Amino acid sequence: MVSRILPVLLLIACTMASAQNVRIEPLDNNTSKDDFAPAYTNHGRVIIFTSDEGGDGQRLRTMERTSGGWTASTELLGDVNDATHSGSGTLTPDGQSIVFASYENDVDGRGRTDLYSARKVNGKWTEVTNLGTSINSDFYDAHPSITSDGRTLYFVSDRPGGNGETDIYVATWGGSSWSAAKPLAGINTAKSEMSPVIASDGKTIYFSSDRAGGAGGFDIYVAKISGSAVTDIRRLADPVNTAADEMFYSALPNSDQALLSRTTSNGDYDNYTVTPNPFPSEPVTLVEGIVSDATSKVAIGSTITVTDLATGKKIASLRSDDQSGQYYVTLTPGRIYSITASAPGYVFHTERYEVPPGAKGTTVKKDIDLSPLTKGGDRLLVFFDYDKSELKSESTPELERVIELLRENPNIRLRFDGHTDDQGSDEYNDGLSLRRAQSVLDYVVAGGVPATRLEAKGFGKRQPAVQGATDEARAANRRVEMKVVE
Amino acid sequence: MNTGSWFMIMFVVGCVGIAAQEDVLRPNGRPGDASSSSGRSKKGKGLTWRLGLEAGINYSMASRDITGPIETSPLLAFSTGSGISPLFGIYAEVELTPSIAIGTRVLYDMKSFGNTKTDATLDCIILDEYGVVVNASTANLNAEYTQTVNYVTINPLIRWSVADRFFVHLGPVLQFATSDIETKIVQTMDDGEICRFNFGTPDSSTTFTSTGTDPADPSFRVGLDLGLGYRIPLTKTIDLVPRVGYQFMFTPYGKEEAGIDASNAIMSPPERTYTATAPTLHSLQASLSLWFSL
Repeated sequence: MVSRILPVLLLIACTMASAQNVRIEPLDNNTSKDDFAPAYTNHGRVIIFTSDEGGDGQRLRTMERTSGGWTASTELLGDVNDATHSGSGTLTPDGQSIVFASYENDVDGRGRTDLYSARKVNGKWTEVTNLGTSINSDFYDAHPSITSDGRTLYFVSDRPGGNGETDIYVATWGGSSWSAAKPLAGINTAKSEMSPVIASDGKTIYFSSDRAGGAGGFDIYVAKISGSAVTDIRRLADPVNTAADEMFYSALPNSDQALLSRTTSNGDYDNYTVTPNPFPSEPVTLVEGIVSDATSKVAIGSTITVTDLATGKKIASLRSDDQSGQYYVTLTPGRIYSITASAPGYVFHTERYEVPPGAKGTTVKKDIDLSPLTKGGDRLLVFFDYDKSELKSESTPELERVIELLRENPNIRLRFDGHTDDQGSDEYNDGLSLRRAQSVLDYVVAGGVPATRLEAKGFGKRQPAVQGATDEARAANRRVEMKVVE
Repeated sequence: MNTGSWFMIMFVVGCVGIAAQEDVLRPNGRPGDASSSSGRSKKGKGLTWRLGLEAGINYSMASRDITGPIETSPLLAFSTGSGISPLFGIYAEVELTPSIAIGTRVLYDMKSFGNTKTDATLDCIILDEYGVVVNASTANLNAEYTQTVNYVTINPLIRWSVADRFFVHLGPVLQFATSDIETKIVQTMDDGEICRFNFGTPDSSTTFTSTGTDPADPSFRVGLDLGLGYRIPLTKTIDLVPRVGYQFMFTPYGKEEAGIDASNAIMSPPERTYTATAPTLHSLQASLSLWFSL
């Protein structure tokens, strides 16, 4: 009998210990008014949240983590708060774009609370744009949450056609516009679903609901998303959920910390940290660094394009900060990526990242120097397999960018310099390197660029990029570089 | 204040009490907290001006206390009155904050009202063929009156948006009479009565009609308007606005009166003196407006 009971007692004890270990602590900068919807950005160094601090309207505010803790919060600069109420913002991981809800914004909407986007330019949030009729309705549309690739948007609406009072909707970015929002199947009930927050892995979604079976009011739930299917909906236990209302559960990537908003005794919301997060999202690879001018070292605001090299598709388009040059990219496991930084007047730069399935969460720091688009500017372009001059399929996105660069800058001429590893004779490698350069040239010409603007040259094995005879060194030397010659 | 007045005020106050404006956190606003809904005025946006055209109807309600006559006196028909008449006007406002605006309505405001007392009686004498009084009788009578007076109404007001599209109007009413008070009296005896008006003359009839005009006195009236409206956006700059309002007037539309009521003096002597308080006239208004945002 004892042998049967003991495991049960142990399980109960472990469960209680686990529950007791979760600490819910007030986040800095709570006020006596509503403070809610905390959202991490810049890989957790910045939090944007909403506050009715002055009691005269909800406003988007921000605070930064320093060695001394969180700074005092300040209102976001720019136009995002030009409304009766603005808040519940969701940011792309780069912290350069925001989607937020606004009631009676200066930019006309559809009558009630609508979703808007804005961009950070020189430290100010500007270019406030209504997300349009694909997303917004004549009803309440709020609580947006955007995936780390910026391609999928979850939000809440009380429009007709849903299951209950408020439901969670989803829309996807098609490259130039949002798809028509649809109820997220499998998650909505006849009660209210609120505050969806999609985690950085793109698979874990936290949301709030006052459905039956909760601890009281709104409780936090977690579910998994795969494609359009929502599975494994689970309610977080005490002490995360209490008799108060809990909303806006947000997990810091690769961390045991989360944030939430909870009502206080006077009915206002405050923000809290949850440590450890009992339902963390899956690990991701965080890439961050500074984009700067290779010559002057001045920080550059650039476009950061993330490409899936297996399919050649751009999966995210982000920005580095106009003032600091900082960029932040989130990569989910199971893919090979290229991250390209480009800016007007500069030769683009690409880094390759392979994030295998099951990879542990890591943070990679990689600064990027962009060479000015002037004579002599050069950059590494593509790699080749041993003794091959055929282009790899993963090289396609990079070569498309070369075509784009030539179209945008009709006065420049490029030279492609082919190289080989140290194996084989000079004569053979000279020919192989030239064939590699010519392969690149042929691809670019096929893309509509006049051959007169291009030149191919072979350097054989005489100019290795990496010294040594290891496999890694040889692979790094089987390459074609691009040089601006005019 | 009559029941209608209280009902209107309680309805509007009730609406104000329960309404709370939505925000980005709560689709229905914070429960029981209309004050949190106000928000601060939008930054960087100029004042919004609106002009409107309004058309609707008045349901006018007149009332006065008349003491002295017997209960069936036709004079008591004037104790109360009601009726429907049109109103037309223009509206202008400037939005100071997203929820507060000040403005003015200027209306051509016709008030037409009346009453029929169906249990009235009137004494009469019966003459023989020689014109000699041979009898007297009391005839059952429908005593009816209608009165019409036109005003120009100026109604400065504050508009408070208590919810997304609902708003409350509140402001003073200034009315300037633009016509005399036109009164029409129609008294009709039952056909079976032996009494007749102008008994024994060729004009003998069961119906008596009288029309007349009197100067509107006072010609300027003051009151208070409380309204409730709903904005239906037709386009980005045009709203259709159904509105109901209650025009409570502090100033009566006529003077106190006193006189002799001889209607029933033959069969129920003597002649009665009567006094009538100054008549009040309030209006329930229902209208449709088009508001154009500039």
